Amino acid sequence: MAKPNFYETLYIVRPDLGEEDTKRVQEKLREIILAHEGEIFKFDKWAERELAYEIRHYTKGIYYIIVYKALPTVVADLETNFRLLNDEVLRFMTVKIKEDAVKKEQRVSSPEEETQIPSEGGI
Amino acid sequence: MEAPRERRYFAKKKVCKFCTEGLEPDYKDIELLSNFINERKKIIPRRTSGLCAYHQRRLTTMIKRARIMALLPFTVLH
Repeated sequence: MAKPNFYETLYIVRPDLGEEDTKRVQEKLREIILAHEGEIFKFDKWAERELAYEIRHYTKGIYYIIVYKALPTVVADLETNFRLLNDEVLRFMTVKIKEDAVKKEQRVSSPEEETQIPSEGGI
Repeated sequence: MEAPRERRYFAKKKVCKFCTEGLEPDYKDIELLSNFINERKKIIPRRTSGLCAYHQRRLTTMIKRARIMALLPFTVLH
C-alpha cells in the first residue's frame, strides 16, 4: 500500500462565481481528498488578485489553497475533477510539499515519526 | 603610472541570497520572485543573480510554477 504524501493545491476560480458555486466546488474537492484517506490541514481563500495575464478573458481571479495529506492517487482524481469543473476553475496546480512546511503552516494533529519526504518533483 | 589591477574593475562580491538569509524560494512569494526577473520578465541568470547552483535551480522551478498560476507573466507581450 502506498504511503500518503503531503500536497498543496492552488486553484483559481472565476471572479464572478457566486457563493453557492464556490461552496459547491470546495465541497467537491474536500470529498475527493477525504476519499483518498486524506486529512486536510488548511483550506483557505488565498487571495483575490489581478492575473498576470488573461485566462479565458478574465483579468482577475480568486485563489484558493488546500494543504493536505493523502494517498498519491488523489492527484489524478483531483485533476479529472478539476477538468470537469471547467466552468468554474480557471487554473489548478498540485505540488508535493515537505512535511515541515505543513507543520510550519498549521497544527498537525498526530505527531508521527520523522520521515524524510522527497522534495517536490517537476512542475 | 600603473593602476593597481584590482581597481580596474569594480565587482561586488555576490553571495546567494537564499543561503545567507536562510530562505527557500516559494512559488507563492511573488514579491521575492520578482526580484529575480528582468524588465522583460526573463529569469535573471546566475552570473547576475549571484545565487548558488542549488537555489538558482529551485528558483527557476518556482518562477515557472508561478507563471503557470498567472502569478507572474511569461512575457511583456501578454
